[in-house]
Amino acid sequence: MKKYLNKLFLLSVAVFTLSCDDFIEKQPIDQLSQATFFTDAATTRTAVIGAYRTLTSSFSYGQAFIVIPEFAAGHMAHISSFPEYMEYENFDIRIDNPWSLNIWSASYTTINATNNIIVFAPEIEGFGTNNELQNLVREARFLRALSYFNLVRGWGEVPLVLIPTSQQTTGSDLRVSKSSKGEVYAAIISDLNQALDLPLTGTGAGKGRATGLAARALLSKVQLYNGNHAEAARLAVEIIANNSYSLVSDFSAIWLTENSSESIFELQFDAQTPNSFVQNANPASRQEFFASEAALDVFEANDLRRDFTVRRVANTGAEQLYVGKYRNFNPPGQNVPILRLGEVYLIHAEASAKAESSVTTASLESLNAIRKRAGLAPVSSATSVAAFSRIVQEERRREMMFESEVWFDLCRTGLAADILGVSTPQKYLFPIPQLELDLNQNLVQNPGYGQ
Amino acid sequence: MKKHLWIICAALFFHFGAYGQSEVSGKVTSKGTNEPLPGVSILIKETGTGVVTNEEGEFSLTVPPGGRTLVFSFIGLVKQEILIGNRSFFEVSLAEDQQNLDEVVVIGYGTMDRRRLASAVSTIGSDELDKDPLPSLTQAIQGKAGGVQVTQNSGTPGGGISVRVRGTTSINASSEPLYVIDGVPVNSSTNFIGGQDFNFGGADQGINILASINPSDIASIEILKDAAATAIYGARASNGVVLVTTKRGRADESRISINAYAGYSEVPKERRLPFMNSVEYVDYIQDLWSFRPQGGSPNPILLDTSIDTDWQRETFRQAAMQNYEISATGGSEKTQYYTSVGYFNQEGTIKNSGFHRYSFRVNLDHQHSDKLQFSANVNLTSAFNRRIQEENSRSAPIRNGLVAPPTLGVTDQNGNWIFDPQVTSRENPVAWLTLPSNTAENLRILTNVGATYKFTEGLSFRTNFGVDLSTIEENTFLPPNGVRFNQGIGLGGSRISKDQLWLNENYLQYEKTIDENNSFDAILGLSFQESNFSFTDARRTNFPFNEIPIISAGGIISGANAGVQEWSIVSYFSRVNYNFKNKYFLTANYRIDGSSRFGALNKYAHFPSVAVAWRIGDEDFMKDNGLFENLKLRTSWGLSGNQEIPNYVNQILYSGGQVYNQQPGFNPNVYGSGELGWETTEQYNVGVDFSILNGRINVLADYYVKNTRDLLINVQIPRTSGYRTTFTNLGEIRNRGFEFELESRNLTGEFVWNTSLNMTFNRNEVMSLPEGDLLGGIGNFNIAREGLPLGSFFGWVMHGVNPETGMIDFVREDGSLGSPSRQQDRQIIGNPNPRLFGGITNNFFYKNFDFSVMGQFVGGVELYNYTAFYRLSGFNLSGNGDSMWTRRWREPGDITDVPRPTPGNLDNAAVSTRWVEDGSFFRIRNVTLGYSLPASLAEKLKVSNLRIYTTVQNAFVFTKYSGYDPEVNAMSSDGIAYGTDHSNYPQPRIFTGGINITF
Repeated sequence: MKKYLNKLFLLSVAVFTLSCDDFIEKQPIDQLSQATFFTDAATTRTAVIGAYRTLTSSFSYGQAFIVIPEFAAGHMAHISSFPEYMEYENFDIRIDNPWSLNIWSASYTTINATNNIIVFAPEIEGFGTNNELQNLVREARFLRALSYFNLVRGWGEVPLVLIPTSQQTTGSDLRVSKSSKGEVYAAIISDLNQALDLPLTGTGAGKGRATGLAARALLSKVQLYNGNHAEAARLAVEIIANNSYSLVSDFSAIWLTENSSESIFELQFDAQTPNSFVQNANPASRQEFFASEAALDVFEANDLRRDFTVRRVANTGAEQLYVGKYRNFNPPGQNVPILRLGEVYLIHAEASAKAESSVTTASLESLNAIRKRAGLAPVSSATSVAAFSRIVQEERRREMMFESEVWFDLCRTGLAADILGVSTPQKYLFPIPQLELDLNQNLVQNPGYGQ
Repeated sequence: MKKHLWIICAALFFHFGAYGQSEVSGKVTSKGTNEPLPGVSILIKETGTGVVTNEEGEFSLTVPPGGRTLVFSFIGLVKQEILIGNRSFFEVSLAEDQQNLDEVVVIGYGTMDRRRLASAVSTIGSDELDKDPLPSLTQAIQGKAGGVQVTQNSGTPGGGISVRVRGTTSINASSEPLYVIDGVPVNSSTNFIGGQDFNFGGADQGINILASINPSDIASIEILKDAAATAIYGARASNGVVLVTTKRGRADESRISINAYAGYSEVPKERRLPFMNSVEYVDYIQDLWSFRPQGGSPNPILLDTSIDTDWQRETFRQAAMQNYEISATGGSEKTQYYTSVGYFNQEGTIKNSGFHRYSFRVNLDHQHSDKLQFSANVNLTSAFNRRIQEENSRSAPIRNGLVAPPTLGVTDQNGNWIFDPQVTSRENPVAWLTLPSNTAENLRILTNVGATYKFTEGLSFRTNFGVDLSTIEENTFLPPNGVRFNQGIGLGGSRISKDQLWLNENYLQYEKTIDENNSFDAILGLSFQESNFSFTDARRTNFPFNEIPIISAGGIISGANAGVQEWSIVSYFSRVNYNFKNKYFLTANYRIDGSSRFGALNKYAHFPSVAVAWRIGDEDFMKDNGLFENLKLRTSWGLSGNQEIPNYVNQILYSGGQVYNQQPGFNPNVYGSGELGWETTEQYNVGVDFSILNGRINVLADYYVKNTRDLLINVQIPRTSGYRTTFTNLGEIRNRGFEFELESRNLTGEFVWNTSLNMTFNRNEVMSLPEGDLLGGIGNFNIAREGLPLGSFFGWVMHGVNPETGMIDFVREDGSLGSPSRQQDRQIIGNPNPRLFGGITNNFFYKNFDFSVMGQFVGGVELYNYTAFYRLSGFNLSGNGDSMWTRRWREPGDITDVPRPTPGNLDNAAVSTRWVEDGSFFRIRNVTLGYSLPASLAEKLKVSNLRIYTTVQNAFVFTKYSGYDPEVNAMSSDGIAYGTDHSNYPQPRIFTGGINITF
């Protein structure tokens, strides 16, 4: 009998093993595996859209990347003054601060998404003659450059990962060491130089996407940070002279209308892609973040931008200050202009003066274009390039408040010590997140932050 | 051995002969003591009718035509059959049954006499299940079985639970046991978490899918513990297996039972938390503002001491509870049935929360021919959870509601809600509780149809087809008016999830007696199981008014989504039980499982096990040893597996839904490896069964070692990868422990007293973690580290309040004092794994009264009281706090244990020993007093049995823990974060009264 059973068992094993292998082979239904992903322009398109989407996350431009630098610049307040935010205002950031980790993580999420596109899309058959595919890769390069630019501004030396994580096969491959700032800037500039070949402007479905002019605007800013002022100024002139974009006359229109004539690269939010920050910083919605009193003091009384930027609203008997540039909260579709012509004027003002080591008429004109719109008297001269640069930074602070730029500008120019009271240039950089140090023994903490 | 001397139980089996020809009467006494025995059943064998003895042990009954034999029986006593003949009066004395260990135990794919069992199995019989009002089958296990720890994650009606059989074995795969109901491994998510989106505020309040099973339908629960018992369910058995067997009809036994109870529950007064009153609060909040770096002063509205609102009183309520069920059972030789219908409704002690369930069941058995037998079970339930926000949710009543300023009222004279003017995100606690809704309705069909064909004597084939189909509909609504979150806009969501699971099992059974010394039985089978989970959800905002909570009333569609996933498993299984001389027993299992969840290289795994038992007590040299009876030694070894990880994590995947600018996007979001394989648990068990004192004390005891290797861990990887985690097989955990179950019949006779006690001592240790420590929980408070119990608490060590600064000093690595800012100063400061746990039940019977007290205990365990954080952080600009604040530090030189308030600084609230408390407790879980109608009276009322009872559940908790209840597990979805109390729903005390009637 036992023999009979054994035979039956073997038989049933033989019969079922084939079908059983199929039975337990389950492929995802609502996801695609990497092996089947980059096969054509359609999948690549969704990967690029997905990469833009990463920028809208609440750890990126959807909240944290606005809020955190603005706390550091002294413009923000939090309903409960949570230390995780106040540490930025006080330039005393703990290495386990969650926001340093969140922004870091979000940046590399974008980078991995773009690395996939940049490496895998060119392997698609016919890539060499497919202009759409090539442009999609250029967009990915623009987004990767933007992410590394934000990383290098925030942390200085950072790991430079340029291939997809899925191609890093071992655990030690994932533990990438830091690259020098020079190497990171070189990679950024290389990416942007290729993105320059994108169509200069985009409309329709192309709104909110990287364009050739957006690449120029970002490269101009990158060169300003990189100290290549002549190149920064040249690119700024090219953008202004292109005339595709023009300054809006009413400053508030930049935020109250979507994709204004001034907006070169504007991140698109809507009901499906909600902006967390506007939900959390609005008098009629959840109120977690406010503008600080100090933000108000940055402006002169007659500055037309003041009451729009720092919005005063009576609420339950007490007046509160709100972040005025974020208003479109229902649905939470406030767009975020990342590159706009107003900033390009200011880049030009600074870069041209520094490039020529003199405060030229052209640099004054660029600065005064912004001041004029704000209802302020023009600046007619400056005692030195350094003095002029400081004037430009102060103007940038008023113009760009709540656009995540001011903190980086003040650190770049070293004015953060004087204007914000940062005690040491070491604090111009954020700490490498503790968790990342724990997971990657090849990383070294930034100077000034104890282990 | 779990049988109790329960008078009522015996009475249930009979009805009354209505007419007949002869009258007989008599008296039954206990052999030895000669005391009269009440409640003994006397059955006329030929007709199946009978009576039970009264308090004096006397009986009388009418013998109908054809009645020739009387059967006297009583649980625990030797049955006697007596021919009636011409006698009309019988004096009978019944002896204690030495063989009362004879108990049939359900094991996987079959049953077995406990005498022959070589593996470790705990049984909970229906006598234990039927007695008390139990909301869910999981409560039926709690404190009843050695080695099994059941934790109600919170007091939420119908809420999630955690069950650990012999310790926690896994980090990121599930540590919950497999549940098998009437042979079907079911969807047993004890903490089903639907769309995170729909728990506005980001909570993860689960529902217990097992709450959809009506506990009154259960005949017995078996818990398979050692590898020899579980290996037959190989792939998913490493956390133990809970076998649930439902009631079935019996031939010639027609009964209708009605069970009804009603009562109420409340948050025990003595467990409520102490908060400052208005006067104390105003003093405190002004003090707090004086420390604010930005200056300023509190809003004057907060300083009105004429109002003193007790937010606990506004949050809690006395909540009604009721249960009604009817069951009918009976049948003929060929066909038997059991059918029931039930309704259970439990309101929650927090306003606007509750749970109710409708349940229907039909179990059928039919003998088609000598060779072919059919069975069918159909169970239909609708379970409805009305949820409130708890745990992580931002505006949870326990977290933020209770710390609302006591100087604010609920509503003004015009009935308008009053809101905090200072902290503009704070909700009105009562509005927040009563205006939004968050429901989950689980409609579940659990059914299986099977057939057994007998080829020859000894050889049969069984096939079984089972389906478990759950549809869970979740609806959430945040109204536009009365709450601050999305004020004027509202938010509504609707999500339907469907979990379909089907199973087909086919196996051959063979039984053979070779000679008088050798016999064996064997099974050999093949099973297929497949599951398909899908969901569809949609959300809208811009609701015009509060009245319609359905998303159709909303304006803007803010989201719509759907998803689907599948898994499947194929299994080959076999078992041989060999019996030599009725003294030596061998059980061997072999199972091969193939799972879709693992990588191409590791799809299949093999799970062997073997167990031997030696009834040493039956050896000649042990006969008449004067101490032990039924002495049996057991030992086993085996492997079992765990595959409870998400689907498809063995691949690198792109997921959609990444919409940007109204266009579809995909992102790489799963980083998996094709090498991913099974988590394997190797378990050794040695055990002993024995009874002493003529069977009055019965003991089952086991020692086990469970090594779980190739742990499925969702390890963190450097964020520079663009991912956060990846599943990998890594490391090893060991659980070692000793457990015993003891049953004692302390007193017999007229006054009966039984005790059952079980206790488990488990030691959990992480044996290896090659990639280093893993952190989890709130503030990374829990750690997995080599050499330590899993989930140990990891934080700073509080030294005390600095008398000069009023700040807490923490002990640094080098022994100096400072702020909690350096990671290297964190230490191991607690262990959430209990050193011991168990339960003790005492049953008393006197005349027609029954009384029982059940206690449950957990010892040597620490809890992370994160709920206290919200009362003691001293941070919020308007929040109330614990009354402890009245002895806070005020000025330099003050010596106190409570620091100063610290707006803008959370150092005092850092993850530290400040939040670690002893979580040991002894709970009087259940006290029941029952009274059964005497048989004579019952007869007059034309019922065979009638019992009324009253019960107090959670009568009292003895504990040092300062939170609502030490039985708590807030972070059940985090594999490392055990023992966290995070604003959990308090455990209620429940008073009920009920009636059982059997016709």
